[in-house]
Amino acid sequence: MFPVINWSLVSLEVLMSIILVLLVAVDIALPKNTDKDWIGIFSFIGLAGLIIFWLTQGSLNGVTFSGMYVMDSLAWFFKGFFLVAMVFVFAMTQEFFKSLGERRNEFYLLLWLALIGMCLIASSADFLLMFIAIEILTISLYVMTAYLKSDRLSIEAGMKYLILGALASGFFLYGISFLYGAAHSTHFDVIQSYCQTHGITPITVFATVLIFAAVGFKIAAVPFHMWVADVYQGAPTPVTALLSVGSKAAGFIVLIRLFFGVFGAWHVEWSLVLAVLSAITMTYGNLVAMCQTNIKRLLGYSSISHAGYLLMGAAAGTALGAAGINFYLLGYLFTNLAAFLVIIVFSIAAKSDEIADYAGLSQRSSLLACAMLLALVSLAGMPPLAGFFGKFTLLMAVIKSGYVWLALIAGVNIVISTYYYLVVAKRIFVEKPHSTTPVAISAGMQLLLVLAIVGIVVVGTFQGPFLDAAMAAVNGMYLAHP
Amino acid sequence: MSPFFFYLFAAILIFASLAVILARNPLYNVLALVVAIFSLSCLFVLLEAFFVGMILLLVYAGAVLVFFLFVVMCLNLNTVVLSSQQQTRFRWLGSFVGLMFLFSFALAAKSFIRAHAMEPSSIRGTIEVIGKILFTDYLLPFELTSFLLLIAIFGIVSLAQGALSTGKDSENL
Repeated sequence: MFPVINWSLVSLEVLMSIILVLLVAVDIALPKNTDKDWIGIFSFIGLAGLIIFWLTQGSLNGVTFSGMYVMDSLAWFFKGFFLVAMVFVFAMTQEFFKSLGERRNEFYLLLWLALIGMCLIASSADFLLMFIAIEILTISLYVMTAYLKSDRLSIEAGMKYLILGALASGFFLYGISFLYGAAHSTHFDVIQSYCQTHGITPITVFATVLIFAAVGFKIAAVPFHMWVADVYQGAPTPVTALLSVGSKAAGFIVLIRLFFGVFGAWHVEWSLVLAVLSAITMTYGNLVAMCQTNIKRLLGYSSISHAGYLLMGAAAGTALGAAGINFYLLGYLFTNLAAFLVIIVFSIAAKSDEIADYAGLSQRSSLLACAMLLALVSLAGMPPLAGFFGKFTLLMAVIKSGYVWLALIAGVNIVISTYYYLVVAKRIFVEKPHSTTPVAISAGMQLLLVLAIVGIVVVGTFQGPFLDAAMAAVNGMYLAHP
Repeated sequence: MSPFFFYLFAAILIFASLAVILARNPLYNVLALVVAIFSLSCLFVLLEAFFVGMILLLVYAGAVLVFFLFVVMCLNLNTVVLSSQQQTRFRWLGSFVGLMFLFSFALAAKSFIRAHAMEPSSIRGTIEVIGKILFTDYLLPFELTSFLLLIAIFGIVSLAQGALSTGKDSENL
């Protein structure tokens, strides 16, 4: 029987698809020699419209497409997250690819496809849909990573990401097939009730380990982190920003849906594994980040360590832990995007991503130096910025769940990370600049830098409404574990 | 009749798969993969999943692997014998992880046979059944695969197009 489709639930994705098709048409219809960046302008209009439309969707709740697609508070929260992140990424793309001319248009289209993929991941209630959505996101990321095709690093990054990503997808599918064999369905609701009635068996251990491996690849948790540094360094910087914010958040939404919701009944067995992985991930990321000389690599390793902090929320396994993940990601969004905005503006002016070249940046542009300092200090987790309260929430969640040792390890890690973040800050503020020419910042970049700074400060100081939103996202979640 | 054929094709599949990773000549790798795919599709036919078996043959053995062969031939790799000197560093670790994987797989498979066997006749993999499922229950993922194709097209267009005029793009980056 043909399924009954509730179109109002999927309207956001439908609108995105319509915008995508229109942009493809515009791309074809445009004369080849226009200098004006029409696709970029239309993309911003589309994103603004979608954000307004997204605001009206907050109360939607339901399942459609015969139980495949879910629109709940968690999906709503993350769709807004992805839309805001995309505004930044589009602006970065516009700035970064000024010289690329015509090829920039296809890049915008790929970004739109990645956005659709992320929103679908947020709304998946079925493993098959989740797999397709993850593939839409990752395959467009493979292409975008290798986009600077005459740059050897970019090609190498794309190749590595493709090969390891294909392996992760294979693991994911293999895990799903075992789970299907056990529960005879790919729907989350059926699998959840299977988990509640059955204990953990060798089959389900095998299946969940494989699925976790694939998710771990997306969030860059430690045994599956091999791709991070090279891909972060080689990819065009807007893609690195998208990887570090969007792709990681997409991984964590899968983690929340699966290990907090669907496999919630097995949390006792999983919790210790997640806690140990969390400890290893944050320690590894921070220790290796200390000896980096390239700022994109440094942020790559720092993103591994942040995956470790975020895994604490998954190890806690309570609603507070999941809400902590959401809140932390919200702060991380503004913090990391601020850092990447600075990197893009600086790399266009100085043609370098080396930390040594950042020396004396404060004398060349106070806005860039200020934004970078706030981003670094917030990543390190100092009050009153966004990063502090996120870490605080996660630490509270793990201590309440009885993992005091994990909280202690996290504390040591925060100290270690403060060191290498502040080394970069010291270069920017204390050392003598190599050249004193001021760094030019376009008006759009200035606006976004200020927005990101405001985001870091506001999320950190007025945590209340944001924490409530993060908590509401978890409380209204489809198939939340009781 | 089916147990005999099952064991026959399973044995061929295992040997062919081993040949894929063990043969030194790239041409033999690809040919062994063709044999592996063929015996896999035979296993699907024994399970009465005719459509999957057919697609496997058509798409993989027919299109993808022939394409592989073309690439191998164009690159003239058949004279190159891959050296075995590398990978000594991670060989022991790799073997250990592989054995662990195999062990947990064996455990999973063992409990699988005992607890979760479906009667094979309950599902018939004809085109009609698969088509019905694809266009009703699995409508959304099925339609979304079109996005994957779209990405593939964009990727090819942007990565392969104008490959001759390299050097121009990265000037200002």
